[in-house]
Amino acid sequence: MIFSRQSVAEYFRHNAWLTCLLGDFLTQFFYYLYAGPAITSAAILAVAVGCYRCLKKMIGGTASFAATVLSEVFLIFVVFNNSFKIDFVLAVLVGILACNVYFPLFKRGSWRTAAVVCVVLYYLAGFAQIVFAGFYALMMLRKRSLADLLIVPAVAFVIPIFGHRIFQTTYTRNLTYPGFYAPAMPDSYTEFSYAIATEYYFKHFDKVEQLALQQDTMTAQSGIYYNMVQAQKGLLPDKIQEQAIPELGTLLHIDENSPTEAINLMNDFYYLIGDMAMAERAAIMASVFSPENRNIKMLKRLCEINLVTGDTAIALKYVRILEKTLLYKSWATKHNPYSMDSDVAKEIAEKRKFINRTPLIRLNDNCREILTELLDSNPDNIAALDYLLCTDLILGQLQTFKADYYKYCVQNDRPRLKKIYIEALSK
Amino acid sequence: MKHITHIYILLIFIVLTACHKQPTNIKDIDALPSIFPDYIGVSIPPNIAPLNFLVRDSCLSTYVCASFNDLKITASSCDNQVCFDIDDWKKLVSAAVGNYIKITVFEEKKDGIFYQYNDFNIHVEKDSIDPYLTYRLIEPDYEVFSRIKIEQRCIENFDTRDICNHNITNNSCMNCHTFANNDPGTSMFYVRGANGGAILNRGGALRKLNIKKSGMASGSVYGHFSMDGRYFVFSTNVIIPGLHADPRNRMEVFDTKSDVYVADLENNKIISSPLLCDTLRAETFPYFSSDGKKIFYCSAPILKDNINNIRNVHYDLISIDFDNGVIGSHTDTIVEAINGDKPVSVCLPTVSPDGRYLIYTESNYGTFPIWHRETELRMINLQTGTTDSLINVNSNNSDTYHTFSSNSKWVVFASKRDDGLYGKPYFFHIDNDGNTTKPFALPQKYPDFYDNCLKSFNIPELSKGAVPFSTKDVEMLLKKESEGFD
Repeated sequence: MIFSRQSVAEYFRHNAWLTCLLGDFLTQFFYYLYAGPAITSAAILAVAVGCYRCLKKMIGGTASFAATVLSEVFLIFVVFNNSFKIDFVLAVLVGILACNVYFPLFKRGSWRTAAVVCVVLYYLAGFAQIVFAGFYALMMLRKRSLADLLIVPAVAFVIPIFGHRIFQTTYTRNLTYPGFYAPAMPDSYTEFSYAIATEYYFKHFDKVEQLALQQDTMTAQSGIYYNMVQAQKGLLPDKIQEQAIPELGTLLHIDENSPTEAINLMNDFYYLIGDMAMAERAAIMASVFSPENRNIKMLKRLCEINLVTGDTAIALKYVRILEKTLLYKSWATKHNPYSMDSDVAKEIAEKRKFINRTPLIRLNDNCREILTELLDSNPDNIAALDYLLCTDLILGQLQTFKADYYKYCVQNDRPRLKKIYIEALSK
Repeated sequence: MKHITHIYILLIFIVLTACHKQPTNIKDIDALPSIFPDYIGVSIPPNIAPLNFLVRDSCLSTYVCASFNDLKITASSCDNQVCFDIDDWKKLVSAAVGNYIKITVFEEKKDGIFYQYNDFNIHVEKDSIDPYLTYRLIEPDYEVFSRIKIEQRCIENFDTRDICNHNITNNSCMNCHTFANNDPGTSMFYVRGANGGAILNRGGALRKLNIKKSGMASGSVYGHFSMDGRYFVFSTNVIIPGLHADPRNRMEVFDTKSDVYVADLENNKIISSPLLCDTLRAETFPYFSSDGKKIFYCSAPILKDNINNIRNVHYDLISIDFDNGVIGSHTDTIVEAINGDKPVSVCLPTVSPDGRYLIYTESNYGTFPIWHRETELRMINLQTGTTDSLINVNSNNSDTYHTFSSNSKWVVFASKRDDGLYGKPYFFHIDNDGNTTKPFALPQKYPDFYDNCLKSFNIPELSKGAVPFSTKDVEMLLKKESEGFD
């Protein structure tokens, strides 16, 4: 979340601003270990308590407990399908809280006051007015007030007819804003993807290795992360001999149809081998396909890329955004191009040596071309060299391997003496 | 209870006055303030919204005084953001028409001293600018997009509204918006995707058109209305995006084929000419002259293996006659791309409504100037034939996608001058003698808007009023079938 008057004012341009604002505020703390599950669980638990308190007065203790459990289970399964976004749960919570405040105040119910509450809830919390109207209808069902039973839910569904014109969106989207999804099963694959990507992001390389190796068979994603760790240690040729490697990353293609995890992954890969053009492309793609077009990890990466390429003006733009966040402020200070931390400056300078200076235009992301261009620009790019030679070997292209080894190791007088290379050269 | 009320009142007073300190302990600094956007020495129209700005130095508070003769307005804040009251601003600017507004900036630093910088001036021109600006907001990467929209902004204040957005198009792409003679009653934009088409607005009545006939390379891409709005000249382009291996140059976009056609919007007919559909040449960026008697466009030979030959692709600026639906039989070269030591490439010609000037962009090669840092604007005086290189307008980064105000006195263009990546609308003035002024960025309600914005302002176009339709109208129209063309 960006703490600036302009950014906060943006929330007020749409209904559900309270849940979106609160959601974004809480989501930033997902950065900390266990904070995400803790915040989400607390919100879901609050919904349960509110739901039980409301229902207890309407349908009695046992039935309300059962109904609460059922609705909680439903909510949890919806959360599984909701990319772990919290604003959806908050909208339900605001609706339930409104019921808990409204019903004790207006014990007999009044469709006029309830309609006003619906409008307020719609403006503050999106589809919370549907939650409120549902509970209100349930209450009126017990009181056998047909008029109240029908009017308030009708109002709840009519509000977005006007609202969607004001907020310039479709009726369906406005009715369900800030987002309502179908229930889904837990997605352990995505969780694992996030886990390994996050460990790599925090440079917990031992954890990355551990996670990749604990799988019976490495997935393409974990294989690529595992190899990136090895490449940084200069051990890629050693490890591909030891491990069954499903994917090096050199053959993975990304486009607008690729999952975000793959785009993030290739961003890390291109940054590692030193191709800043492709890394920037992947970073912008990942940002474009993120919720609200914002992706803090990619914003940091875009800053790094532009520091490497020497585009200080654009790097400074990203620094200025990150300086307005709670959790990335110190990172931004260290990466300010005009007052860069010495360790950061050293790292950036190291990366800058490998910039691709080939005056070519690419129409695709053919990694062989990328790797050879990088090596033509700087033959000391060991990561690019290992990826090129290892890809040749994995593809079984022995003659290509020999030609590449000759060009980049022998002709450049930079022998790369690795067991797997020597064995391949002797065949 | 009474005491508590007093305490509350006192607290509210303290909060309200804390950020509105008059500078007392003042020290002069012999330098101009570092402000963003750069409004130092610019010329503005009398109907522009307040030029709110940021002071780039870190400071405890800022105090700014804008004055003309005895009329003075102030703006103060607890941070580095300077926002003028819009009513005060309007009064000041109205009084200063034809003269200079003096701006004095004070910054309170941590030592408690207010530092006063050298004053700077803003000139208020007599000529007004069209009050509405339409642009597309898109990430600065044309390969992919998500959640893009075409927005209209009243530049006399800070009101914006969407003309079309991702919600109603199912996240489809939408392209160039164009007006006939800056008239909001005649305009067109494209929505791509399954239910897409060219959305034609005539006085608020919308039509969805499929401006295509067999044999055309693609649907319409770049286009422009004739003055009366009956004809629409457009190009069809097979566009290939590429990526420079050297990250400093980022993207390159080129056409493997492009032709120019004219659509008769009254009879749904497409008019073509072999001169505009030469199989050996690529014709693009068509634009009607102000009297509708000529079509200006850019043309270059189609080179084999154009990906590797891109640096040899140079577009000429050409004109061809057009009379009441009939395309002329010969062409005139207005700017020859390969002429002299340094070949250039001409893109995006636009003609002022009064017919006096033609502005185009010039880059070293190719057909997508937005990604070329060297891209600059050039202005031809169509009466004398002289070309102005617009030294005080151009920057070190891409300056392109320009259009005129209806009175031909103001030009808006997209400039990447601030960071090289994110385009912003900039405006400059042309006086009766053809002299131009230092451009200024579109002012925003919150001066840190541009710092936080991760979208580019794309293809800014001025209009005399707001478009007479809503996103809901567009949403309904998209569900209908497109009208075809012969």
